[in-house]
Amino acid sequence: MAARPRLGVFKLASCDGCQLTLLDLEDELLAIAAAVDIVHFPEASSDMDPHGRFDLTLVEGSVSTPAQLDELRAIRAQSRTLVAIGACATAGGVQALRNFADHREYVRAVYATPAYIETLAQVTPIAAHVRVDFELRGCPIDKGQLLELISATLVGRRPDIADESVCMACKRAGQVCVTVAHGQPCLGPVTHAGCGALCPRFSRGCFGCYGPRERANTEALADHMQAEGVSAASLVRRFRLFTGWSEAFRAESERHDD
Amino acid sequence: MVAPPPGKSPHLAKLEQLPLAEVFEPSHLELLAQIASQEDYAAETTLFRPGDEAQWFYAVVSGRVSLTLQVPGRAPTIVASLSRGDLFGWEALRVDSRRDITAVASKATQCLRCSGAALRELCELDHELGYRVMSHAFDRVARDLSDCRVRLVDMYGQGC
Amino acid sequence: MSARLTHDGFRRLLEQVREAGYALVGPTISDGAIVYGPIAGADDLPIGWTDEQAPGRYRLRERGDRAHFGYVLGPQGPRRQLTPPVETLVRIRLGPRREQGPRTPEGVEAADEDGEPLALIGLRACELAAMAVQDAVWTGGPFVDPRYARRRERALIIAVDCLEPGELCFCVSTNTGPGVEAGASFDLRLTELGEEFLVEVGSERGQALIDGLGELAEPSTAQLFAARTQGVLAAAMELHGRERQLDLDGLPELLFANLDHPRWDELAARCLSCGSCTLVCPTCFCHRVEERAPLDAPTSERVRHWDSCFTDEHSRIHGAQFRPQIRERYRQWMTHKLGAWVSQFGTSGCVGCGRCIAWCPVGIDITEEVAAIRAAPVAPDDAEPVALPPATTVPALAGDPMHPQLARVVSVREELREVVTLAVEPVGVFSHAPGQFNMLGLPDVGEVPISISGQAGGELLHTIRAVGAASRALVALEAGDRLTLRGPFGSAWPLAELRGHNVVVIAGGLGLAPLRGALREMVAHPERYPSVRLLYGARSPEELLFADEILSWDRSIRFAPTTAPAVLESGHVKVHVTVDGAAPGWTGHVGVVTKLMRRKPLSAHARYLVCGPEIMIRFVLRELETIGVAQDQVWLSMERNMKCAVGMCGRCQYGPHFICKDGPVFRWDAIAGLLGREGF
Ligand SMILES: Cc1cc2nc3c(=O)[nH]c(=O)nc-3n(C[C@H](O)[C@H](O)[C@H](O)COP(=O)(O)OP(=O)(O)OC[C@H]3O[C@@H](n4cnc5c(N)ncnc54)[C@H](O)[C@@H]3O)c2cc1C
Ligand code: SF4
Ligand code: SF4
Ligand code: SF4
Ligand code: FES
Repeated sequence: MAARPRLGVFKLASCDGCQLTLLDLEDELLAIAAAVDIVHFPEASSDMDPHGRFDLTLVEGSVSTPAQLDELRAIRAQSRTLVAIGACATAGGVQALRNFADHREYVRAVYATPAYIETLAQVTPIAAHVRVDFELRGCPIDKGQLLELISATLVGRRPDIADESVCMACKRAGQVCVTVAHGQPCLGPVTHAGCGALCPRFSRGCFGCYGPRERANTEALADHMQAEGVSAASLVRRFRLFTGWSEAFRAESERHDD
Repeated sequence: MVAPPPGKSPHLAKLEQLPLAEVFEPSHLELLAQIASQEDYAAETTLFRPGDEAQWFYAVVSGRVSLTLQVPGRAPTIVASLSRGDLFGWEALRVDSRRDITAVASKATQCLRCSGAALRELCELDHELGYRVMSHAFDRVARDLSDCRVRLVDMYGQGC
Repeated sequence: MSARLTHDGFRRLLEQVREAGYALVGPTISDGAIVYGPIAGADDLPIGWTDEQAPGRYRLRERGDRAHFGYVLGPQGPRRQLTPPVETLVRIRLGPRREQGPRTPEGVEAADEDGEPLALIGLRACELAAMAVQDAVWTGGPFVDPRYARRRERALIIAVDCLEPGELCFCVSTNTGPGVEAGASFDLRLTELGEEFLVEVGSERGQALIDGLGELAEPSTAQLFAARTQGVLAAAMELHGRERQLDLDGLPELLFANLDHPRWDELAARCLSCGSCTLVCPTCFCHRVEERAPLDAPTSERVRHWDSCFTDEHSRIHGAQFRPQIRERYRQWMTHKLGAWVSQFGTSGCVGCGRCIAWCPVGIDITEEVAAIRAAPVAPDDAEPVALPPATTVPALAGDPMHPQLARVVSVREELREVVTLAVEPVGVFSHAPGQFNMLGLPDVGEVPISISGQAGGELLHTIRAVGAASRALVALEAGDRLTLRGPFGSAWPLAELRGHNVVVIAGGLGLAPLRGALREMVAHPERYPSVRLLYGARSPEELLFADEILSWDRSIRFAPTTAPAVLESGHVKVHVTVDGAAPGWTGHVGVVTKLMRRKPLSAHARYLVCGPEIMIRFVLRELETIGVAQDQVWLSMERNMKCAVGMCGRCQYGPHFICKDGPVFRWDAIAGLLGREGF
């Protein structure tokens, strides 16, 4: 009988929240454990074999030290399918916000800082360093999506995790639009769905935890918000949260930051 | 304008039946026939190989010629096959050029061929003829190029 | 019959409806909007409330009276109740987990749970019109969705006239309101007049409910006149006088003639591609079909959920994105809603409710966008006009078209590297025409369209190349395994029309598979098809599909590897084969199939069948054009992505066509204006 698939879980710089989601799967985890060998799972056990090849590897956290970069490269080399999980791994996370400060310093002292040090002075998502097969978004990630990701990958299907706006989730849930009905600014139209429209369900505009969706037309949304009275400073804050270092959100916040 | 010589070439009739005859005046065809010779190749005959001096320019009358690319360390691949009416050996139209491909008769084949030097000379002497030769050649090369581009996208690739 | 109903009478009416076993669904205030939701009775109605609407804006306001239906429209119509946003289609019992690869199915069960029938209360004229539009989508074609049909048939409808149309309404433009017409599909119709209602009975069910209320006052002619003629007419007049109108006249043609209008780019700068407009629109129907197959579950579910032409997934076809730009997505929405819809379903897809305007987070107004294009249409360019097709008729299929049968793999024949032919034994009698396809699936990976490449006795042949998850899993099946099968679907090669003509078949790669059935038919019947030529191109001699069979059709051809002897002598069939590259020893043609076409004298009068990758089809058509072949002599098969295969999910839309039911076999002129065009 062929060896059971090996599922590797690794952590770089992050809060552990995403791994906790994996632990939180409880019953489902038993099924996963029955179907795969879970290896290197620092949150669940400390003495598992971190070496060898992985059929599916989940990496949590962003890259912020040279050691992490080395570790990440080693992980990639051992993994058939590598999935970045959570806002830290996919967009740098909250810790990447310091990049905005560093960024300005960098501009001031362009030649003073060797470039390679600067690279790690920035907190970066793992796709900035290695090939990533799939990004599971969220801060923290969603339990159902994680389960779907694992189930799908193990049978070789693409996970049913659509890259679409939070509006789609709101509308399916029958959630009344907080922008239209309450005048609340909301990043939902440009944000990747997956949270189940959590904030709109509590009558709050979306904060963009899951990061930008494909074709995020942040410019049109920001222009409209501005026309509705949202200040530039507030726009910068809105686009600079958990996924503020993602390309689309970063560009948008920089457009209003001067 | 070069006048066709008296006495018809024995190859004229063959030439007249090829599709390329349509683009030439009868007098031009006669001139071309004068510099042409007919060659018969048994199957498996190699007409030229990479590095050879590009002396002849060919038109296929019957049979089939394969152009084969040899890449060291890989199995040789036939990249084009030529049959009745096709022209090949373009290199001969350029001065001092060499072959970069292998041409093999893949079955018993008959060709008309003429020396590249003679053809070039004829084109120099008669610009009208030269224009026809070159524009016909250009048309064929352009089609080949377009076919090559189609091939680049791996037409039969995936899906159905 | 009509009657007068006091507020108390109305309350009792709803109680009766409940007692009759209906679940009440009516307008109620939730999250600061009036939405359709479960209600217990009249008290849950938004009594005394109204809504104010503007582009991108909706607010509730107190009216200062006791009007029960004094508002206009909430964010979503009854579409939500009739086609739930997430719905399980079937449950599939799974076989044991295998060492690798997906599990096979062991049983299929219908998932429809028959709950209480719904009583839909407060529906407006435009909502009834929208339901009629949805009826056409889900039940009006060759396929009927039994889930929708059942809910719709059981639903009790209490409609309400609009006497105070909202700011964004333009139902007079679309001829769908404001009054509920006598012939519309309702059980009871209410007209709210101050402290009482006029009730009009529209069905026996409605009559029974009214009878159950005991003696009711009958309205006087003057009252009826005041309500119907004055009230509704005044509302209509008011709507007529407004600036916001949608001129439907010649709109489909106008939009399809303006596919390159600069307005689409201008729109792309404003539109967020969020999809809200499509999900609030009461007529949109697009959805996805996905497998829910958790590792530990003994059954998997095939689930559909609302999708939109504004999502990436909607136009993603196995790794390729056909509408990457927002301009193309907005164009899809508008050209479908206001254009293609008319040719597909015989009605516009817009009922003038204004929801897409109110609930667009940036307030884009579809009527304004249409007006802008109408005001300055671009001069017709050189591009071929996009033909709006007549509605097609593919053979109907009885029963639930989404319910697959379990078919058994009888044998697996390895054709080429990564290509096998599965001989599959369906349950029951199965008849198809060459060119049609089946949806084959496995519960872990989902369904994919696969052409029927022949029929041998009771076995259906499917020739499949492993390219992705689903096809790889199918290719790995073994004799005895089961799989899910739905079909046959789609249009067929026009064999009857080809009779008596010289036929040229041009195929590339695996494109020979969908043609094999037609070729077999033509090979077997020289008296019907006097001359048949096959021009077939493949990557290499090793990639030639059905090599033995091709050799049997035309004994004069020889190509390596020559294997089986000829079994069928058919002098009327001529086969020409070309490959992209070959090892020495190959004596056949080398070059693309278009080069082969130039080599063979092809007649401008023959009939042509073309199948292969889309890019090949386009080059072949260009070549046919040079030969002077007319577009109505050429048929081709467009193998794009599908989800439902029955014209309901919207995924396979190709301009005005559904590839699944208008195609995959199209006559060239039907799609000439679309081929190779960006965003389609
Ligand atoms: C009407 C119709 C008839 C078809 N008939 C056949 C048939 O007889 N035999 C057969 O093997 N296939 C056929 N196909 C194509 C087949 O449906 C797809 O190959 C299949 O859906 C791929 O699904 P997947 O999950 O395996 O691949 P995915 O994981 O979805 O895709 C994997 C990769 O394959 C490539 N790919 C997949 N599908 C296509 C496609 N349609 N065109 C080009 N590239 C593609 C993509 O580049 C993608 O990256 C037909 C399609 C249609 C619409
Ligand atoms: S297109 Fe807009 S106005 Fe028309 S029916 Fe749909 S939501 Fe209503
Ligand atoms: S394609 Fe048509 S039906 Fe589908 S979401 Fe778009 S407009 Fe609506
Ligand atoms: S038109 Fe408005 S609602 Fe529709 S996708 Fe664009 S931004 Fe969203
Ligand atoms: S509409 Fe669903 S596949 Fe065509």
